[in-house]
Amino acid sequence: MQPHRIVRWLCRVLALAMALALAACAGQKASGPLIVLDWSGYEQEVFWQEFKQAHPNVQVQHTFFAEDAEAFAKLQSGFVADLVHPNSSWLQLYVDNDLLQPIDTSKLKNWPQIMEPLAKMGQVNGKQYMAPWEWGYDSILVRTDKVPEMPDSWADLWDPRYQGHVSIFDSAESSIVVGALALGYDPYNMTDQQLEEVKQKLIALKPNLLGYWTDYTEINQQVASGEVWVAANTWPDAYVALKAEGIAVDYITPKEGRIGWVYGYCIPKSSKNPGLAHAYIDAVISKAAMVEMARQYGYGAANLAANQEIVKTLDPDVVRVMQLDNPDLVKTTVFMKPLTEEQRTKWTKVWDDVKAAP
Amino acid sequence: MSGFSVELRELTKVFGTSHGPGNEVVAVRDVNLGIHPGEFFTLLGPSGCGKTTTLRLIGGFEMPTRGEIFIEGEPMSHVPPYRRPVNIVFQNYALFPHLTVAQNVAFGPTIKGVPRAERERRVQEALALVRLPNIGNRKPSQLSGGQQQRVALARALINEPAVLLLDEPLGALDLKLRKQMQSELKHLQQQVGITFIYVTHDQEEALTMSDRIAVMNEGQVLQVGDPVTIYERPSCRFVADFIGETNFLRAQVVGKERDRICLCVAGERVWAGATEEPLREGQEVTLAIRPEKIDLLSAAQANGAALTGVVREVVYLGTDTRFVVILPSGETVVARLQNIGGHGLGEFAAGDRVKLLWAAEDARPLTG
Amino acid sequence: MRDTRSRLLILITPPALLLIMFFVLPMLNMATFSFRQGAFGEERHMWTLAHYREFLRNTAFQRLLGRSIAMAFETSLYCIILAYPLAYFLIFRAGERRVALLTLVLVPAWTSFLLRILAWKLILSSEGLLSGLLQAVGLLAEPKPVLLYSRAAVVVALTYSWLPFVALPIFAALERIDPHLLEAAADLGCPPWRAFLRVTLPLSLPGVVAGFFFVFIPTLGEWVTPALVGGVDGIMYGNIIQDQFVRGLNWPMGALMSLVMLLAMLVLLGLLVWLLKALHVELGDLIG
Repeated sequence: MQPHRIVRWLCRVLALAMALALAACAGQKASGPLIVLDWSGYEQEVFWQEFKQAHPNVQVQHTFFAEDAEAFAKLQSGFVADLVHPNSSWLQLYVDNDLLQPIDTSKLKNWPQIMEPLAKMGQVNGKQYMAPWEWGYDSILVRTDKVPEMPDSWADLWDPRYQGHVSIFDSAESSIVVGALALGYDPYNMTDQQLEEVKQKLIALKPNLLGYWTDYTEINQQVASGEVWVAANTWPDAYVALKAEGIAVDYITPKEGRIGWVYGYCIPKSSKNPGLAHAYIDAVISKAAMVEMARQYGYGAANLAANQEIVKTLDPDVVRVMQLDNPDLVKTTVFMKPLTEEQRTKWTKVWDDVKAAP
Repeated sequence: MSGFSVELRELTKVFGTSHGPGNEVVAVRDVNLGIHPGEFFTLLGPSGCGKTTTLRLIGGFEMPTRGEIFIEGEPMSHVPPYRRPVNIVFQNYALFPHLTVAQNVAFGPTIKGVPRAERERRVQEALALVRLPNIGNRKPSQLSGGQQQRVALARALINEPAVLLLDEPLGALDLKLRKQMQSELKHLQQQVGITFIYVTHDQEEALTMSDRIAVMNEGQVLQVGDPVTIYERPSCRFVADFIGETNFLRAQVVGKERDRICLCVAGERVWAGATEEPLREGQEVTLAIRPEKIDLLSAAQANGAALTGVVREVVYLGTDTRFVVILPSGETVVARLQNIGGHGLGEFAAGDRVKLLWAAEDARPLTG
Repeated sequence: MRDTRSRLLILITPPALLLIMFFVLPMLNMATFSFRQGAFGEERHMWTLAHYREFLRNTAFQRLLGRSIAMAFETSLYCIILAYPLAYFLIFRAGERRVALLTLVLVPAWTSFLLRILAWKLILSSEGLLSGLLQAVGLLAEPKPVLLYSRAAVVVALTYSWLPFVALPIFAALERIDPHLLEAAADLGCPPWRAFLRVTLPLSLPGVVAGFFFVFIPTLGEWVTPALVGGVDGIMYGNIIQDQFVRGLNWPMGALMSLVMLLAMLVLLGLLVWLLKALHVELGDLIG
């Protein structure tokens, strides 16, 4: 066949293919797919069971990220998603960059069960941008059978008796708060001078450290093997997992207070299915879903009814450790606050300087 | 001990002993040689005859399985190469590619710690000796084959060895250059005056350059002698066949006289020169005679002890003409006649009956 | 004439395009990025030298770069010291089995790089091989990680990983050496060790240099190995670059640091080549 006839034929085939594709897309427009940008582990159907039952024809796609910064970068560079699951401390940055749309809580039938103080953490400028879901602590996990004396303060991380057996989370956000608390400063209101002192303090920690841990399997294994006695800013699921293995551990409350965090679901501006997104949120914040989450991870639930259920049915030891029955926990816990972009940049720089220092 | 430059006694080298008795190769077998000081001595033979192995044994690159090697009277059988007063020129020259020509030539003195000024003087001398005075700064890759070969020579000679070994050094050169180098090497040896032990498979080269030749085959030395003896009086069939061209005819001893032997070849009586080896009447021998020693006469003319035959082929060679003659016994004889006057070309044609004549001393009866 | 030229052009265009699209343009993109204010939004279109000033001011980053260069150099050196005898043995002593043995040396390189590093993590851990060995010999009282989470662990794991890649070019260089050259050296008065220094070593040097580059260049930018086995001590320059991109969202800084590393590498390698050329001339007189 002659070349120009081949080209003409190809063009016709392409046009036909495109038309078919468009028709297919148009047909699907009414019902998803629902794209959920989430942490690995939360894609289990048991968490969004109600949604599946209400909308059986909607395809739900989970895309995972391993760091808050990763999710932020994705949305910033134009990734289209219907839901995202960040740390509340990142909320300011998301809103400042106009990445989110407000949640209409009147559409959520389970909303009244959400605890008031946590709901407040999901608000920026009076608008509700985040539906809180799970909350928990960064605290210190200790091998009770290995340490000469139990630590009771963030400052104890620097105790030379633990030399070589301390590990701290490789995160600017939580580790700088640790440093600030150890020095008695308010982490979210530090002067530049105080920040510099925190930096020096963290550099001084290095001789005590075995290393910086980056994922929870790593730290769990290191505590289990006895290489690490004092694991800093670990999450409660570490305690749950190691206790199940029969290791002698305790999850302490330093006298300056544990660091607390709240994560929740937000709806990005780029979402094409805000209605479905709301339905999804409603499903995950239901009592049944939240009880299941707490059972698996040991985190606190934002849903009050769920929390009450957990206190009744969960292992009392876990309840104690999680302080789930403590009404004052909001006051004694240093919850992570949103950082402005300037603060975040400064803190990341400080942390990098700490890591780079000889 | 006995005034030899190099002496080999029952020298034997067997390869592959570790692979079992079936896989052994006897490369050199019971070789006995005595090489005189200042001699140009050649080891000549076909590929695989053991001549290179023998050379390498003298150089120290192989160790003998049995037997002994003496260099200038000193036992050297198991002495490593760097302690023998011997230097070698390899077939592929083996010049160090990462050094300049001057550095290559200076290598031996450098290792011995000769001071720089003295070293440079000697390098200049050596390069002048091989007539390459100005190329000190070039790298071997920039030289032609002939130049590389001379550099290899200079590199060996600068060490003033007692013996110089040369392993087919002219093999890679074209014909004209080879001829030129043969002449140069010979003159060089006479000028420097040291013993040269030369290995080649080219018999013409050996005849041209050598004082004495040792012909080898299958690990053994078959004959040692000066070129004339080797050529004119080969001791066995292999030597006669390997050097030049020879006709071999079946013969039977008929009778003996003081300096010649009568043989019966193809039913006719001919004469051959007497040898030291005693021969009985009736003994089966091989008559060896070179083509250029045979004269052809028309059958009608000759009489006396001569062979009769029919010309089968005539080949013109420029200086000579080759005649292939068939004897009644079916054997072929090749004769070469020089084209002088009316002889040679045009004298006989295919189909002519001719008589073959030679001087008795030009023919030899061989038993081996 | 014109026909061959246009044919050459057609042949060269696809690879050239690939090179430009996937190498030159990204490099230029990264270079321009280092001058941007930030990675996203309006900051992306603001230009500044602030990151450059920050890098110049930040001695911790500079010293970390220096430390990483030293670690890369150390690793390359150990690789060469271990690979050279290995290749030498294969060429000069192994005879017919050399190719089979070389293949054995290369087999680990067929596994995933990550797996090899994790294997070292296991070996060096408190329940690992090394700890058990030392306990059996009596040098260790109780299970303890040996070397793990340190600079040494990073160097050991990297040296092991890159060894086959260094052995290969040295093997190739040694194989090319004409055995007659060594016989000639012996003939001219060299005992084996001197023949090695004067002939084998200089002729194998190109292979050694190639091997050095093979290791040095990737090791300089390493971050996975330090993250897994480096602990606090073993942090390398690459880890900070990774932080800038993934956690810090400071892409301009990350780009800048990468460029600096590239520049440092080019300068060092240029120096090395010049040094080798200069040394080569006197190599013969210096040694043996």
